[in-house]
Amino acid sequence: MISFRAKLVVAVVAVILVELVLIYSAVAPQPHESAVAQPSASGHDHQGPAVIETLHAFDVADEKQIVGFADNVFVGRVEEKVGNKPMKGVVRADANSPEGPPAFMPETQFSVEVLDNIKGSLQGTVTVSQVGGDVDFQDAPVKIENDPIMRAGETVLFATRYDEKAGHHQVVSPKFGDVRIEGAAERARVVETFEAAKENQVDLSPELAE
Amino acid sequence: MDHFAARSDEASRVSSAPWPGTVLLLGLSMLAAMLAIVVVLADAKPASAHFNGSPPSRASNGNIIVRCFSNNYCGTYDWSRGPWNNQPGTPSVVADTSTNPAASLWIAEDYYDSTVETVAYWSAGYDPDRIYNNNYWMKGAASTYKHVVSTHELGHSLGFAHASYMGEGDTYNYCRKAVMYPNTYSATQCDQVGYVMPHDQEDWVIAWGTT
Repeated sequence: MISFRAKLVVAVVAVILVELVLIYSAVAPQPHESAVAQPSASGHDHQGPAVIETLHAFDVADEKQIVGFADNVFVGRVEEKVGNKPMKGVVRADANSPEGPPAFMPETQFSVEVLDNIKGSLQGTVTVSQVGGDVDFQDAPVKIENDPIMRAGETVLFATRYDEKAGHHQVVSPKFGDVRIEGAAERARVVETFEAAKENQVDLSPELAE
Repeated sequence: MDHFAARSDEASRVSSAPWPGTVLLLGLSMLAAMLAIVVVLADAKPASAHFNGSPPSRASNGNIIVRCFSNNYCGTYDWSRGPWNNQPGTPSVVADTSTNPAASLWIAEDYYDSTVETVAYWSAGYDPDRIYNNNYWMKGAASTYKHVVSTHELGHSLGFAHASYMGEGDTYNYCRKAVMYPNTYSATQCDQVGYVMPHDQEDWVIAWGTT
């Protein structure tokens, strides 16, 4: 007859083995299917959802750098979408061009009511442009680094530069130049954060790269 | 058997009797300990590869073929094929100076936008992959800076995403670990600029390479 002590040892060992399997399955390196998946043949035949990565000129998570680069920093309420066009400056080649189909990076413009100025002195309603938006080749809008396209009624902290040629205020950075705000308490906190950043803003220019 | 001996014997039997909850309690306590370990390990953020989920199109021989339409940076991108091609395994990044319609990456025409902090965009999902260079940041930059940008963007076309999220307080991460770090300001602060660095190499080996 198997003793109780032996049963206990067997039970403990069994529990340990089960837990080790669970732990291994939880922390073991997973295969990176996205990277090692069979790449497509070069037939230019896939038109999946756009994937866009941006290389930033500075640390956009640092409010001091965002404020330093922007002409205007303000809190505003999005009123409505007023435009949608390709990103300026990118060549929009015709169908017969050796450059192939048109560039698809869209921009979307919104009318925005200015609520609080943190840097600059905007008044009333201004037009703000965000990189990203609707395109004709996919149902979902193109989003830059998953920055959601703005919607009417949202309260947003904007960091913008004025584009004289286009006549609108351009969001300087996806996500970090159009920060969504929920409620009065968060609005006060965000304003306080960016006011403080303004006091120590970092001047940024292309000369950094020289 | 005297009375005390009998009681002692009884106590012994009671204490060693197979209490039904003993094994269960022991198992549960071990489970809790193991869960704690899992939580700690999960929070430890072990080094991991970063892929963008968009494997590049490749020619029949496995190579990634690059066509360059840029007015300013074809030489820069040509230079940046070197650091990646020096990695073990496949594929090779090959420049195509002809009008090969099977090119898997286009260095698109440059653009100029002084209102955004974006140095370059890389996009996939509309074949071929494309790279857009912002002349506002790139045009007057030092060649080292341009090489950092071009090596980074070619890295995207090899399937690599950014090496780290921003705002982790590790400004000099770029210098030490990865050309796939997502901002170039760090590169200007480095005392020594590298191109394909240890973290990139780890990702390369996982995705493509053999050692």
